Amino acid sequence: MTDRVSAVSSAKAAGRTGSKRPRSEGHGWGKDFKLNWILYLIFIPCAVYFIIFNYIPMLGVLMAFQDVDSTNISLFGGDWIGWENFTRLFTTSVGSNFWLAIRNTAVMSLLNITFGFAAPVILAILVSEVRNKGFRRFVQTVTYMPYFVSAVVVCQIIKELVGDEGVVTAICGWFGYSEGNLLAQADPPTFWLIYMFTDIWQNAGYSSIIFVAAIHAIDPSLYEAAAMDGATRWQRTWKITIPSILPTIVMMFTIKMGTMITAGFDKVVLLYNTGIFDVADTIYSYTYRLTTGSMGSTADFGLAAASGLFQSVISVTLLLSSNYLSRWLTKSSLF
Amino acid sequence: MTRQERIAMQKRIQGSGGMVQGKSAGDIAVTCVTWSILFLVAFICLIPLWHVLMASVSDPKQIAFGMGETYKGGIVWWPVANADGAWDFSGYEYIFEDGSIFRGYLNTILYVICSVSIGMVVNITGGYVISRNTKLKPFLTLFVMFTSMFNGGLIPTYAVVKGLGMTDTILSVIIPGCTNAFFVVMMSNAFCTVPESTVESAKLDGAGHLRIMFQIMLPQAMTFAVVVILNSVILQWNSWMPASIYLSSNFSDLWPLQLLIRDLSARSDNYLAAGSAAAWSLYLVRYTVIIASTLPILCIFPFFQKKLEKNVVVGAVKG
Repeated sequence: MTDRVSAVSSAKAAGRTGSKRPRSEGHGWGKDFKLNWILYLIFIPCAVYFIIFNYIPMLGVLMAFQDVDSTNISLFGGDWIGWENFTRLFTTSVGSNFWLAIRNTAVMSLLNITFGFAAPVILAILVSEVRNKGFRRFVQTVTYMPYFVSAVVVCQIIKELVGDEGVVTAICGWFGYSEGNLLAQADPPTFWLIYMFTDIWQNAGYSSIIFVAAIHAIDPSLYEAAAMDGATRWQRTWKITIPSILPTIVMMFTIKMGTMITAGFDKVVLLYNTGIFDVADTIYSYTYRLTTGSMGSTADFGLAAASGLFQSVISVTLLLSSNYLSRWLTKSSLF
Repeated sequence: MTRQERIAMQKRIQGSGGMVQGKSAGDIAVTCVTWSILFLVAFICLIPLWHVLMASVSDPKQIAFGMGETYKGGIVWWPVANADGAWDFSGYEYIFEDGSIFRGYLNTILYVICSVSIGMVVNITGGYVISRNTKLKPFLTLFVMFTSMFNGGLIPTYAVVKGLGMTDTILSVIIPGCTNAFFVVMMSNAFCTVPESTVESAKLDGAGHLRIMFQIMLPQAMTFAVVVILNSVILQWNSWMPASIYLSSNFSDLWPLQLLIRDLSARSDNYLAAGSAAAWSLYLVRYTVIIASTLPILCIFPFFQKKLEKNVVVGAVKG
């Protein structure tokens, strides 16, 4: 969640440094080292951190091709077994089927990137249509609030609301759909909707800040000129506001696309239950479950390593393509 | 952005209402629709928390069965009194007597402070070096940014943490997640905003890198540093996954608040499943634990909110 905001700022900033990246010219490596060795010394804590907790685990993806001992794990300790972990991943069922996990990940990511992305934009446009300062402040404060509630608590609240005697269950009952606990149904897959609404409820308000800021930056004389020419408010929104904030929308969209299969899926782990694995299990929760041996599964590090690598490969592909898309559309990119 | 620019923009924003606002029937209709949608949105944001707050002091029997003499199901608008006509505070008594929630608070506060401090040391030193004009700069930037693109996944990271002997100690919660590539790059951009002339004159006066970094540049880059700190505090406060992976249940006295919430709620669920008639207060725990863990945050969040919002706006305008 916070990653997204920091990503925005760094995306902006990356564009900035990219354009005027200063280079030291005119002297060789020896002289550079003599001049800057203190700097390189200062970099050591940072280097050590990233090597230990990021680069060594990257080499550890080789574990996906090894026979990993689930009781006494060690990097590079297992025997090479080729693609066997992956064969097992796609053929065996551990509480749920990996193919279904892939499908669920795809469906939930798509719901998230369409409705979950549109919600903050619409909210921002609505909020900036309000001229009454007090009411605008009130709406903004109230909509940011869920962002500061932790994922664990949010999921606990949602469980209460959609449980057997929950409020949402009761409301569904009024409309003629009374099947009890909404988190226990595989058909129709109510879990997908619950997950989507949870994500929107928690993040829409906070994500809208950046769009509200973009709308504020629009030159008001555009609106005045349009009003003079007799444009209605609807036309002004459609023809001025949206085109003006389009670069921001595109940038945020590519960021969201790049992180869509990992971001927010810890909520799945907090929400789902063994009864609805077929519709609720995602690649992320599958990996988590086999790592910790929770939710009635036993830990299987070989499978978890394989599905973790699978997820990393998809996520790096998405990130690179969204980055390419962003460079193509807006001439600025993350990397 | 200079002060004058900011004031000018402020004026523009405030002024944008006046001329554009028409008074035709269509405009009034649009205003009505906008207001009602936003009221609905605000209602949806608030009501779950209100429901939990009210349910936490209600009669557990009526709430658990979804109906009773005074409660007819749906949202609990106002506490449902028990047979004696009193509110039920036994859920709160249970968690205060249990005491684990206080330990959770202390653990979380300790983890946030340690982890954010260590993280900021990495962010500031790393960010400073990346922002300087050296021959290794492109390489170092790539070195940091690459980690945000590709990661090894849960299992290899777990193997490393375990190999370091950190599992089941507080180090496993504090160190592995203390920072990430985005925070380092944000800090480096913060340093880039400091004018080069300031640094040059400090160098001429004989200031070393450490003095330049902490005494000259950091105070000027503080606006951005605060954003990084706030983001990492929120990240750490809400984090539960590293603790659930690295700290086994034998070490539950090291658990952060978020894991304890999960544990207490599960206790409450199991109680209902067992169907024992022992203590109804345990049923209320599912509500009271949410309130006890969230209310303090919601009380201080308006102060954070203004800061974060302002900084997001400043960052956006700067870009």
